[in-house]
Amino acid sequence: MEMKLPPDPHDFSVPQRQSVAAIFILVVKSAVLIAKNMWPLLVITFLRSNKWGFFNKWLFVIITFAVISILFAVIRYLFYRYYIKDNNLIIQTGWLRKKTLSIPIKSIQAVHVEQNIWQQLFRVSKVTLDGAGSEKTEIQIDAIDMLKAEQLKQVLLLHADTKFLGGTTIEADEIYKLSIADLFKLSLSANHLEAFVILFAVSLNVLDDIRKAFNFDGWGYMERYAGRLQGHVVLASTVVIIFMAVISIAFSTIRIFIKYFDFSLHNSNQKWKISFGLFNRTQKIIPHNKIQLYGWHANWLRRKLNFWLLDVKTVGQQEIKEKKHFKIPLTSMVAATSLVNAYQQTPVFNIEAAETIEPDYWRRKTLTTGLTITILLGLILVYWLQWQALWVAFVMLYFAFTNYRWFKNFRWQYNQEGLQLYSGLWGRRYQLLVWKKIQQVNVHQSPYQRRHKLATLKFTTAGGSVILPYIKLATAQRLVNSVLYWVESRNETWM
Amino acid sequence: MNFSNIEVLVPDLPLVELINFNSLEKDYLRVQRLTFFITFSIVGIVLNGVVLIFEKLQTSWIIMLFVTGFLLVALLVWFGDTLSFKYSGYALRQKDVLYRSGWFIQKVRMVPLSRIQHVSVQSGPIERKYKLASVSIFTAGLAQADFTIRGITDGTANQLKEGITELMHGNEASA
Repeated sequence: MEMKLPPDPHDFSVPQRQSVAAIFILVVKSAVLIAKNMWPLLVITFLRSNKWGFFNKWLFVIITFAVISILFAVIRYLFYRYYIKDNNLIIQTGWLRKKTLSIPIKSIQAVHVEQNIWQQLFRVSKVTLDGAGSEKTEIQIDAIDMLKAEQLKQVLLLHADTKFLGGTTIEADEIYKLSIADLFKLSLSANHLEAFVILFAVSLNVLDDIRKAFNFDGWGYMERYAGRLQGHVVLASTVVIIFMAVISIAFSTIRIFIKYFDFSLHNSNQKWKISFGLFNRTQKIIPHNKIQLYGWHANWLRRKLNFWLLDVKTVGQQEIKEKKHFKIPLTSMVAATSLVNAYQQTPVFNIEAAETIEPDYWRRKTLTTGLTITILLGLILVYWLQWQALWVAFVMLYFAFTNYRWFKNFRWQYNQEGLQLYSGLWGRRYQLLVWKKIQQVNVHQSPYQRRHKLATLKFTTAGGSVILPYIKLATAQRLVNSVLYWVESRNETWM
Repeated sequence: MNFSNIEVLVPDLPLVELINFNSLEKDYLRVQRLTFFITFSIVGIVLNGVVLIFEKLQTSWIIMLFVTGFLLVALLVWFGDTLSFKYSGYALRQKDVLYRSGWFIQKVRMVPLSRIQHVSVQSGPIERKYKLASVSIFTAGLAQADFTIRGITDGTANQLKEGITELMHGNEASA
């Protein structure tokens, strides 16, 4: 770190306000916050009251909005003070409800100095601090003079516990971001069927609401319109299908933009810091040791686009019963494999060289679930179709095909550190498990498996479990014995 | 970037398949029989009541269906209980607890002692009559018990609990 200390270091022991520019920054911030919380109210006032003209209504809304935002900002500016006292960073806030936050500098793990467009314009910086692990206690100072911000960072880092900082690598954070193009890619490859179902359910409600609000009969209109289209069935249905497709894609796009806008992942020594979202910024800190299971997957289309969703299952120290999982969009396989060392040292396996499961898997699966469903379906259909119900045999073929394909695609491999699985029918899923995370090991055997000396293994962690189906009993026993030996002899903690 | 997969063979690797599992108390089968009779009597009475109340159900083939279904399920549970009782067993090693159970799909569950959060002993009214108890093992991440060893005398249950707790702390101390 070759940051030269400015000639006259600022005195941080005196309680001080932020830079005056903070007022503007805060106005913007409050405006966004108010808009976020009040927009339903605004929409309702628009739709309901007819007393004023359109222009006056707009003016009223904008003025109220502006006045409230400015008021909030000024109050926040005036009553915000920060200083350093007795190795604590102290932040006082609040007008009616005073709040004093005292953060031991020792517990600070990282200091980030950032600037958005507004902050650059006013030559101020935002300073955020990562605390000792919990997610909600993130501290932020919105706008202080750029020079002062750097000085504050120096002062804080000087006293911070170096064991967290890992030397001076703070600024060498590996950063992973999603661009607008990535978001479009993600949107286009989303599950549009799901989007369509959601949209359909919502639109039924909305049509009803519109009818009530505007005295406009949406259904009636659609029925009349559809009536006129009779005789043009092909045209009409094509139009409807294209319309629905466009709407579904637009809907997915909006959903993904709202959720993942400005996504960033900072990978430092001990943890990931993730933030994303358009309206609701979500900020998460995931300490590496809390990750229990690590995996990534893609549906068929996304696999072709090389776009993967990282799926990380964690469990926390305080919330030991509360499992969480995070889905993180990744723009390439390389991203998934490069982040792996947050979880394990072993690189991701080469599936060509890996092991398969026994073919009994697909035969048994087809015979048990496939045949049962086919027969039941056949019995029901005989009632209507008589002997034509034999067409149901195709269902059986479908089961046979999908089970076979799944079996064909499945790969697994293990070493002293952990297990890696690769599976999927059309899409693909990678699952990684590190032995030290294991809470329980299960060996399952059905009567068939007992006769043919096969077994299914299930490894359970605090964040979820992983199943390795239909392997040879001898292999299963060797694996189980080794895994228990590794887990029990190493005395590694699972968190 | 190669995934290395060297065969690891520790010469004296403790083998799970050679463990002698402690079987459950004979009385536990009696407890299960009793529970079986109670449950199926209640189900039988309820089914009878339903047929008596709804006249539409009083056709011979529906009654036949009910009776065959009832007997089939009862038979299945009866033999299931017996087979499961024969197979079930537990073992406590220095570093882990094992429990096996099931009759159709047989399972062996293994939990390393260092992963156990807590252990509990409990017993139901019928179990108490026969001085039996169950031991539940809890690890992190699961709301319910990882597994419950049923059908051991309450003395053994408490010993097991003590033993597990002791070994858990013993392992911690030596770590």
